Amino acid sequence: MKRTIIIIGGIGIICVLIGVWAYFLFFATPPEDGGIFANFNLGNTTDPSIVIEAQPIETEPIVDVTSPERLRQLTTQPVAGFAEVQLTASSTPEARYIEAGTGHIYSIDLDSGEEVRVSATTIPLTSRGVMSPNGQFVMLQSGTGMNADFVIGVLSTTSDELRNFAVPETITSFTATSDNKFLYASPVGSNLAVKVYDPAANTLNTLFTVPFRDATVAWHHTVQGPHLVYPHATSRLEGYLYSYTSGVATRLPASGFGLSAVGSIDGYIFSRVVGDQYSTFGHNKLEDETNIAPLSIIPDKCTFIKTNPTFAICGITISEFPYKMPDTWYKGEVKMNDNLWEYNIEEKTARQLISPVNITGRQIDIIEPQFGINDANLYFQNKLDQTLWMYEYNPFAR
Amino acid sequence: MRSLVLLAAFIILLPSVAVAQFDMSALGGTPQIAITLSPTHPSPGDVVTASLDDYAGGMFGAQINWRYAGAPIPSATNQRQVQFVAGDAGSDTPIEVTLTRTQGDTQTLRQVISPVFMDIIIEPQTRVPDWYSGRALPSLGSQVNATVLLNDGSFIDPQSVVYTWRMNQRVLEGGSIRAGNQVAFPTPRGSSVVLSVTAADLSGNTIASRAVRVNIVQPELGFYEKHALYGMQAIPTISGATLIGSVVTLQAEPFFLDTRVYNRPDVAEWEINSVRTPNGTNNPYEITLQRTRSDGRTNVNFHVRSLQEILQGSEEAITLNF
Repeated sequence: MKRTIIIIGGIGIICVLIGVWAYFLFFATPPEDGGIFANFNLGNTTDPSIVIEAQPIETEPIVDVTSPERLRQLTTQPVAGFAEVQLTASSTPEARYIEAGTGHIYSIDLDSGEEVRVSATTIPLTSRGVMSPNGQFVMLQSGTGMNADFVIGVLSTTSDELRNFAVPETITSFTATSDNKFLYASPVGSNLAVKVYDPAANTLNTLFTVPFRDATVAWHHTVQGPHLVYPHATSRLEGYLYSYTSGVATRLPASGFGLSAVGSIDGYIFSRVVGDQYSTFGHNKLEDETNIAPLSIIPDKCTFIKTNPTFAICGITISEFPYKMPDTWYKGEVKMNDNLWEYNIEEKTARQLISPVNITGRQIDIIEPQFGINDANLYFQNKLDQTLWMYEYNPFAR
Repeated sequence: MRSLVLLAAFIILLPSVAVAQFDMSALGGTPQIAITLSPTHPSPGDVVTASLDDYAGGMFGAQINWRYAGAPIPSATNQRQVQFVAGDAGSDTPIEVTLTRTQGDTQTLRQVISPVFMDIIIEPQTRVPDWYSGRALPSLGSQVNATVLLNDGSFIDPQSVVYTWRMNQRVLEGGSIRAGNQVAFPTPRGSSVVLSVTAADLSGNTIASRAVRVNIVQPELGFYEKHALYGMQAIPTISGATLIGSVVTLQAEPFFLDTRVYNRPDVAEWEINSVRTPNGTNNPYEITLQRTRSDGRTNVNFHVRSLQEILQGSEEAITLNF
């Protein structure tokens, strides 16, 4: 081959490479202010605050209240509170929920699935609420911490308006009772006063006073109780269990690190750290005996059946719980994947009712379990997204 | 003559003085055979060990019979120790032991068990988020409020009780205090502190006594997403999480930080990709981030601290993908 041809070929290859390089240089380079490791560009700004746009609420049709399944998801958006209400003695029970953030109240017809907004009055930043079983009254918390406000609302029967007035007290916990009254706990000095408010009669009375402040009240569904009271649970400090019935305190034989409890007139369930394990016990008042439960349970995930108070329904994740419980679950560091279980404190037995993850494919971390009228339906929230769910526990009771 | 009379009187009275020296019970002294309990002040349901202590050796060869609540305990016959379960709060249950010596004479000793619940409730004045259901924990320098509750079937009125508090054997409040069932103290250095309290009635008789170990922790920090409508989400934003949406508000939530430091922090700094960044709001624990690119990641760091008590603080960082 001639030397000249080799030189010409080499120059041609060099020209092609220069052309490719020029193309990438002018047409295919990423913009100057970007890159694979882009940041939020807040590094040198002095005012990064931005008006937050509300995220659109998912409205995909994954809720079907008329589904034949016994387990149903009732809402796709977070709820602040819920209850099954019966407006008159002859009317059909309906599920009602309070929308988180707005305080709007919706009613769901459990037969047809029709959803109706019964209160369009906006209570901004509504984070928690309860409703009376007659559907007439609600108690709402707006905001959190030092900015929390509490209101009691009266639902109108002729419009979607909620007539409401503020409760001028700091409230740490509240609930509605079966006889349409509200119970709430309010710190007074170094104590915690538990009061009962009757919205129909507009009367307020102190039910009892707890001699310390940092108390959790596991409410009973009646004014009389027994309401269980214990210092906020933590695995690092000891807790003690007290029962208040008709305002009279009784120290129950349960104590320990990480102690929390839930109860009924027939007994109570409590969990505590024993050694390096989180363990659960059931106390049967009828026989005055305490037995270790067959499964480890976070009592906050349980509620007793009103009409058969030796039975409790609990959200249970079968796992070896570490000694740091329940702190890690309270912080949200541990997420549960619960199944629904029925636990009999008299027979000391437990049976699984349903596995939501198997039925729906969804992970559910059950909180706020609560029975409806006649214990036919069990309602609860999923801690992971605050949505409302329902399980038909005893359809024949409706 | 006077000296002789005094000498005679001394000689006559000498035996009675000698007898009195050996008759300790007549003077209210400690009996030489006694029942001792462990624990000394049992709570209801406690397993109690009663021991027969014979300091003088006077029960050599004696038959020993125990009775609890009036019922004999055959399994404890001729045993110097017996175990039983304390009764309910407010009950008075006798434990008795009868000694039948070889000479045939008998002696019965008796103690009454009056179990009382003594609960020491620790309320640290450190900060936890409003949505957190657990209890605050003490961290170095933070104040701790402690309350003792005595219950013998109902709460005992603190006005009828004298309390003596000790922290690591150091007496608090300068000594015993009537109705002093609550104390406050700053958390000392160390991983734990032993807090003990003794309760006595107004005659000085001990009702109950108990000690608890109070664990001391370091403040922690977590990042939580704050929704404009729904508020705080109780699930922490973990490092490496992928953000959806163009804007996110993060709240740094200190756990167990002294409430005084939380309210007036000397240092409260955000850093974005290692660059100190003013957060632009009145709430030093909150920052709003906006996505400016279609994808990428950023490092977010928050530091809160007191400059007076340097261990009162925490610093955490997370990486966010978007």
